[in-house]
Amino acid sequence: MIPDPLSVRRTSRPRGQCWTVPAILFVAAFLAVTFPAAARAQQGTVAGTVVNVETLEPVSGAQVTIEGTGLGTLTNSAGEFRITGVEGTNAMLRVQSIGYGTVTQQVRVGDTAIRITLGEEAIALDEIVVTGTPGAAQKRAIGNVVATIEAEDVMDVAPVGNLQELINGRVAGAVVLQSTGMVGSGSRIQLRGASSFSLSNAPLIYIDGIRTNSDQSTGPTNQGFGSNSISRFNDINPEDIASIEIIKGPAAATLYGTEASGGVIQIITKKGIAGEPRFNLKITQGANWFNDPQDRLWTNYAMVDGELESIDFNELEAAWGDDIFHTGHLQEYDLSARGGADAVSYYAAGGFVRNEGIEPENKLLRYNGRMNLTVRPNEKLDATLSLGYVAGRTDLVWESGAGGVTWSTYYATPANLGTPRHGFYSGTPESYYALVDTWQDLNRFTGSIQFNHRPTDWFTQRLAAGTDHTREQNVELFNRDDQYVFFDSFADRGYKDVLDRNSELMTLDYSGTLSFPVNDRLTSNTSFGAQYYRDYSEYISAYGEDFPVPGLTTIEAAAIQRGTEDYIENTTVGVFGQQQVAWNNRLFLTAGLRADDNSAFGEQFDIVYYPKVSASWVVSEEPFWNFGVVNQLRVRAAYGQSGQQPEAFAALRTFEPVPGPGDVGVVTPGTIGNPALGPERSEEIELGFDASMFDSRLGFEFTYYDQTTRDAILLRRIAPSSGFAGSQFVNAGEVTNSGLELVIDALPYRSEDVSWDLRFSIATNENEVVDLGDVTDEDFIQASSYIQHRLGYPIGSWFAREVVSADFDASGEAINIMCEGGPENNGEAVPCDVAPPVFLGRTSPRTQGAFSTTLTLFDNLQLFGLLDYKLDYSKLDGNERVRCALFLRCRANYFPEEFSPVLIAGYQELIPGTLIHDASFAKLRELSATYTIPQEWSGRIGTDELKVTVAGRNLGTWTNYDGLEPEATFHGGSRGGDFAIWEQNVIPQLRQFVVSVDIAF
Amino acid sequence: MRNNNSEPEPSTRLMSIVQNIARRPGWLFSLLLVVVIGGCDVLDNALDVQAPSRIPAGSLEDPSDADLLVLGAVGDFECALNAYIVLGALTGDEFTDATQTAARWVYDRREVRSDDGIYAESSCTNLGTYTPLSVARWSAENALVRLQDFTDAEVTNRQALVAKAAMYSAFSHLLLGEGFCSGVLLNESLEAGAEVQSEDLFQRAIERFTQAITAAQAVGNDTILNASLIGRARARLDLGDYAGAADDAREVVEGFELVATASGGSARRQNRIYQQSIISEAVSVGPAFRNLVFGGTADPRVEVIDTGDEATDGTPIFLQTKYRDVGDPVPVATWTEAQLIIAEAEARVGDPQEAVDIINMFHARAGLPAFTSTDQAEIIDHVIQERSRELFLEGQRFYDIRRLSLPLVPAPGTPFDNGGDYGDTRCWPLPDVEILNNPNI
Repeated sequence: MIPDPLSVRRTSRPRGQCWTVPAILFVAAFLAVTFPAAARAQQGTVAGTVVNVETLEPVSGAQVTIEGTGLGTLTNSAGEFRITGVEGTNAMLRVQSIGYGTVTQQVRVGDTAIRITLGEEAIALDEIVVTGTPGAAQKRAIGNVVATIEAEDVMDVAPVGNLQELINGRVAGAVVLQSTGMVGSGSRIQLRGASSFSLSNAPLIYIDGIRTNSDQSTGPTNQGFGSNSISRFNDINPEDIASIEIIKGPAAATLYGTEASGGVIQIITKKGIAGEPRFNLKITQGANWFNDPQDRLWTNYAMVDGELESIDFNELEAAWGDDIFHTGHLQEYDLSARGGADAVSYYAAGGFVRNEGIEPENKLLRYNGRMNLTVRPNEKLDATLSLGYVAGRTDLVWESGAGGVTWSTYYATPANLGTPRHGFYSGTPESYYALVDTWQDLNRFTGSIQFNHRPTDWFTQRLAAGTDHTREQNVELFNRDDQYVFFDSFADRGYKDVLDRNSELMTLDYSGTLSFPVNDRLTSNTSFGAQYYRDYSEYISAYGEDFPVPGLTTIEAAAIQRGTEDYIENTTVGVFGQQQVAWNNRLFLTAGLRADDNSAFGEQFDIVYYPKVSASWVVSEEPFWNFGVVNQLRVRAAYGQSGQQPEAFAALRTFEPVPGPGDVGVVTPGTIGNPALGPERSEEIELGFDASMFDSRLGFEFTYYDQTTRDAILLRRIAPSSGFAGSQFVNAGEVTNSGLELVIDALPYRSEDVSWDLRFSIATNENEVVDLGDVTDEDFIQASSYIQHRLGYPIGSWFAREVVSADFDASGEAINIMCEGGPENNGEAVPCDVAPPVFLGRTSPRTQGAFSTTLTLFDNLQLFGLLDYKLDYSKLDGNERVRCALFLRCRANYFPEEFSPVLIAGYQELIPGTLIHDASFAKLRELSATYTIPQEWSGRIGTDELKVTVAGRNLGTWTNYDGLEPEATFHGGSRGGDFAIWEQNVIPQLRQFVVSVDIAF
Repeated sequence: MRNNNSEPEPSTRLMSIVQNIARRPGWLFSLLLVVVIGGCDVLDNALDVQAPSRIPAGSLEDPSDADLLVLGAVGDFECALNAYIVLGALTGDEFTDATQTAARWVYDRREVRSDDGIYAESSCTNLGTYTPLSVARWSAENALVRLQDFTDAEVTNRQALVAKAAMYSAFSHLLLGEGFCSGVLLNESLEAGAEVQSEDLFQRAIERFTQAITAAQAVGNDTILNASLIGRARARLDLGDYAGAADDAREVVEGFELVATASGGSARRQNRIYQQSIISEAVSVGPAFRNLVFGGTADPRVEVIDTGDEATDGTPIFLQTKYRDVGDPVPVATWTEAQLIIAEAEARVGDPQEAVDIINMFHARAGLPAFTSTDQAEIIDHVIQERSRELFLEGQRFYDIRRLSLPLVPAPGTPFDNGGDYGDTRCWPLPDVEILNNPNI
């Protein structure tokens, strides 16, 4: 019989009490070492000014700290700082600011007229990062590239409303593929290409050291083919982010172990700063709209009573008598307070967003709260409590195969003119507004506590513990319809589908580093640590249909009701050790090993080990360096492994409970399972250099990476005759990713009144499926319609038949249709009905990057622009497919002679190649002007600083793609999953205009 | 501007570290922690996860699970049968599609390719046929294999369960043979073999029905006995063994009926025909079955309602009335079917007048005028028409069109309203998902 409880045990050893013992010991250890009754020595003050060495302008916001203590502050807008409570007679002052070289200077305690000059720097070797390292480390010590987004600086100028907009175009190698222009919708984010056939290729998201929910696709089903469109990435308020650190692959992510092969994005939230409380109020108002629908949407044709009639967007609006798409109002309000004393500092913030899309039903409502509290009971310990809360509702509208206003508008037909449909294909806009309610309610709490302990100058340790609890309620409600008669009777009577998902991720992460000098040149850093992650989700769903009378909206009121519940749990335990040696603070060699075990590994699979080694050498600090033009040069190399775990119960063969005869519970075959299932293993070599030239006017960050993913987990279809439906996860394939990433920062002009910054980035990705194991006799796996994983080609590429020639017969029908024969036919064309699918392009960009520039005039006017581009990938234009090949609404269907017979043949025979097009594009993504009101004026109304920004988003597109929107894609789902690059009645990216006022007081 | 603090001499530093550890008990605790984490089996305990909604296959190999496995197989078949009836009706002529998206049009248009997902891979609640029937067959065969390992002492009703499992396996084989142009068979280890013809599936169905009949007779189970006789008669009819079919059919008790039960409790248990036609209005009764009459009298066996509504794609909505509730059962094997098998056999190879008598028994039951004819071809045609009406929406018509090479209406090449032309699908091809993933094909 069924065992109870249904515990899935990985071993047969007895359950011990091992967790409680170390937990108690640990707390005891902390208490014992962190609260010694230390008598305070004599205390003094240090104070002064920080200025730019070239312009002698004050540097505001520079971080000033006393080394070896927790003491520190930020400079004010006059570049001034003051630190009290400094012990001893001398102190080491460390000053850091983004874009400047770090300065460490010995000062006398009591000196209040210290002058520190900072030199601008195109590459920041001394910048501290915390991602991918056991503790905080300087970039110079790390052999891999860590991309950093200085979110605070970005938010000052750029019209950015969420994390995906913050990342897009700012990190070489991070591909952000937007799914729809619907407000509140998410993107698919990948770092350095896809390496997994069947698992998520999404990076992990950490917030302040703990793992958080990184589901990119959630929400009620509003996309019939495209799955769901809300991304958990976008819950965090970008105003609360201090910086983002991104490590892009296994070479850097080894210490994160299994699951990290897609890279890691770490969000570092704003923390308190000792000093007077500083309040910030930011008010943003804006508008979103569908730019130029009349020219971008199509004229649709149909035979009506034997006559050819047509309808275009303007005629449809005229027939309807109202705007079909509206201008949505965007409003956002953020208030924060930041301050504290030496022992306690805080950052507290609250925000509210209400953003409306082009359909009145599409809106995002989000409330954010954050409280970060840092306590420094003594100079050896600091503890930071980070609490974030977000609640809100995202109201979506139907699109991509689900129907909706886009469906009805894009495929409008003149046959419906003069009917209650007013020319729309199915329902009128108001009928969709009235009948369909699709939303996600969100409550999410992310809390962590992190202890940093420096008991001695040779030992530091860090403990982070936290939880990320997400509750989503996803609802699709189709109201009972007695007024609108456009839908079938099933929908007319209404239905409601509710999915309540509770998920929690728990992180416990300890690391310690022993560092001591071996001799006066060599320093040794020995690190070790352990992590525990637990991830569980509870699902409760309920469904009801057939409301007896209108106005009923709960499932209780539906005539037919169903419900279900599910529970999924996964745990990981990992330990690591790392040894680093540093030679003269210029050459760093690191080696590490991580061991992981995971509850999703099959019974026959045991612990997995991931090694790493890396080297970083700041060549330009060597005495022999004598190349004046290149004033800084660091070369780096890293090798590392990481993994990707199978889905929670993928290894297990199961039966499922189902209702049987008499509604009595019985069983049916569930999943076929795979007892040998293990993780995917990715290894990566990363080589690169950072250089700055011409007195730091020009900076280069160059990286080459080469990844190989072995035992790639493939979701193999199984023959239904096996008795099990669906698929089986197997470790089968091998995929390689390689490419170049180059970021060039230039400061071409600097004067007291004008400074001009430029940044250009380019990243390439070469991807190839090298092996498919023995899961198939063929050299490919069909991933979904027209998408294959084929040996020798990039993973998840388009493969379909492609017409190469055809003729017209007398009536305009295509005849003699020949398709590309592919390698099987030595490139000879063959009749289409026997033609093989041929390669028609990648589904992710091969090349992408961005160009951005900032021009600062007279210190108070900043002009900023960002242009990003994605090149060399293809997309299926589902709008064309529906209009021209299925519903016959295109001009080509009625005037074939105006078009090529090849195109007509593709439509006539529904040959997919005709619909798959290059989707390369460049977009003028962001353009803004920020004016800082001079202090003499802003001071009069009692503010410290007053800034006004006027900005636009999605202002121009350059593309050869002639469909509606190169950036619209399905977000996972049945038409290609992670590789779905397919557009069908999707709302294009909206043009946006915003004005924001940022007041500090 | 580098830190030029003087640092202690290394050897003194090491010494002080050691002394420090010795002096500070807190340090010992910290080190101990690492030892404790590394040393105990906390790792393994931490990896225990709960799976309260999954049933490991290994937990169902006990004799006490025999009932559950057989009942599960029955449930699998019942849901599969419902989907088969709807999709068969859509591909055949009993239903026409009334959905606004193109996914199901290929069935209506009789242009089903082996890479189409619906019939091949969808679940029974989503009108899949190949996968649900394959699962139903495997469930029944798996139960048979398990039952062979158990003893009569372990499972007191073992023979009855064997009879039941064999019968449902046989019905799954029957539908896999009738609906699909070819198929596969399972061996004793439940592994699928190479591609075989429908006739091979019918032969396997006959073997399983025979096994069921033998076991049912042994334990005196009349339901399984009668249903298996009808099933075997149907398989023999499918193979053209008219005399053998009629012999089996004559043994069936008058009025006998085996049904697939249904209820509104869950999607899986719903009467799918009712759900598709009445609840969803996703199908409309096909033109060939609207307003049927005989001799000027409306035929009550195929009563339809003209709603006057049109679906989004313009299809007029005609509702079937055979199933009037989402909980209405669906016939699996009936005495009516047995009589029609006898009638067909008599009309073809026996006494055609006996066929006429059977027809008129049905006409009397339906209140229709009597049928008279002495022309064998006309009588055979009328038996086929009787089958289409008596067995309307019971999953028989789709194969009759193939078996009897009935003319396809509208003819292949006729333009289809939503684009394209009608094709000539009379059976669903063995799907790609089987061909590509079955190692023996």
